[in-house]
Amino acid sequence: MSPSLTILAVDDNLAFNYAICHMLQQAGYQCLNAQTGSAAISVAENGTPDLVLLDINLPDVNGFEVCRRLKSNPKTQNIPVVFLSATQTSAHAKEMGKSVGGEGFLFAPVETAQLLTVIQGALLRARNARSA
Amino acid sequence: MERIPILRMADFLLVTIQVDMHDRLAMALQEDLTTKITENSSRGVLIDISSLEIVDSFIGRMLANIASMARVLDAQTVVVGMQPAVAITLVELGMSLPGVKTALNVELGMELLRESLAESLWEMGNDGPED
Amino acid sequence: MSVISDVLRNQEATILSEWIREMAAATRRADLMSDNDLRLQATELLRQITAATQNGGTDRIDGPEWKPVRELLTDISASRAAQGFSPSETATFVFSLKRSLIEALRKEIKDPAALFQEVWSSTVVLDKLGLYTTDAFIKSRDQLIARQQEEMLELSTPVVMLWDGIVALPLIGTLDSARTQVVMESLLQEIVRTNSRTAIIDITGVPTVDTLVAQHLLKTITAARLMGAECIISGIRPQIAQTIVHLGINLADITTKAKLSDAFALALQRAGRGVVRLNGDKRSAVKSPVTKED
Repeated sequence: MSPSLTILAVDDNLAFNYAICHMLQQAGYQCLNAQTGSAAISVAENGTPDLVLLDINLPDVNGFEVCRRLKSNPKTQNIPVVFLSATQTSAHAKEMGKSVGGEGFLFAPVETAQLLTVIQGALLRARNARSA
Repeated sequence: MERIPILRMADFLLVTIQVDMHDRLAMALQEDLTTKITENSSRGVLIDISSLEIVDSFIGRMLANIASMARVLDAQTVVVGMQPAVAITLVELGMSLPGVKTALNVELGMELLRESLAESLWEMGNDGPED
Repeated sequence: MSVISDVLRNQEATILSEWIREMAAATRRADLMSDNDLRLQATELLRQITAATQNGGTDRIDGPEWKPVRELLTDISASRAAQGFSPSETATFVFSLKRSLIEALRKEIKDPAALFQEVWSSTVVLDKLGLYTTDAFIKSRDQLIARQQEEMLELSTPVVMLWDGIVALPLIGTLDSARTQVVMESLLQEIVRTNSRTAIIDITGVPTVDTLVAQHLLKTITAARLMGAECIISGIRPQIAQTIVHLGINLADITTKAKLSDAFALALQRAGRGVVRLNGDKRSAVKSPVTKED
């Protein structure tokens, strides 16, 4: 897989975003980040990342809603969304994530290897869906 | 109010459940155990339930809670003397007590604790010095 | 309205001197401000109020015509606060203009109805101006508190290096999202700077752990892991262990220890290091050069 894929990491905690981006860059990805739901949507529209890594507890609008909006916008509907949350860890949350069109759901704390595997899986599926 | 006594046996703590447990007694036991584990830096807790012929979901939950709290304080729990009828009841109640080892009696329980502690030390030491 | 401004202009000198005289010894605070400074401050304020009443009327003080007055009052509030005046002393400075202004109005307006109207308008506008100084005081006090809190945040999140590749973060106080950000930044920076593989997060100083605090902790641990350091949580008090279980907080594969020393020992083990006793007792160490070499 080409290493210049871009991932948009969304979390209201700057330091946490920094850690995610640091790890993603080491793994060969490019990283964009956003700290609010609205910023995430606008970055996704203008930057067209290859995947969105989305926290749920955002200050302005929650992650589920952000995913819903991304999926209903023709510009961004094909970008896979993976939820990563330390707060919403119930089975119910997982259901919610799926119902709004998310491709994956991870609970923090997460192993780096696990995070990368899920991201790669989602990227692969998206690529296959495009060429299908 | 009566409190369940906790005995210290080397690195471990031993608790014997003989009487009918009720809310306050269970709470007191949880408090006393967590305090003692911390005070003694205990790495293992043995819970002797050989006198219990029947258990209910309350006891099951209490055992699970104790095991979780002990784990948070880095101590392993071994339940000792579980009678077959009790084991079946726990399974029927859907309480498998994950992460809790069982043994036939206190001696075997202590052996089990020592073994699992030695194992974890071995695992950690496996990284080895870099030089 | 323009009646008030006319009166203010025509009788400026009298109003000013009466005003200054009105400030009785108790509110005068000669210990904090010299006569000269007081006269200068009063003169300036009176001039600005005169101009504002002329251009902007007395109904409201939030319009652009009253801006110079508002700015002046903010300055006065700040400088007086710095000098040690209480907010009510500063407000009284403004309120005490009432008497001399009303006296001046009484001299000029003969019609009782008109007089009452102007007296009422001046009372209302001076009340507003006096309260404005109080608001300004509170606002600057809030800003000071916010700044001090920021400074405290900086101070209370030290990350210490315990050994090669092992850092410790003793957390003191409550963990909220603002604090977690600062804490995480310090921790991550240190992990990178010291190239550490283990981070010990000690929560002895964290008074309560609820689901929110646990979430912040979990985020911190995740972030540290992503930067390549495994975390050990230490300093778990018996109460906290119970709370964690009762709240159903899942610390699944995170290593937890009651004591920081245990966490440190574990971190050393993971790094393939240990603590050894130096051999021999002191007596033989001293003896051997003598006995062996001879």
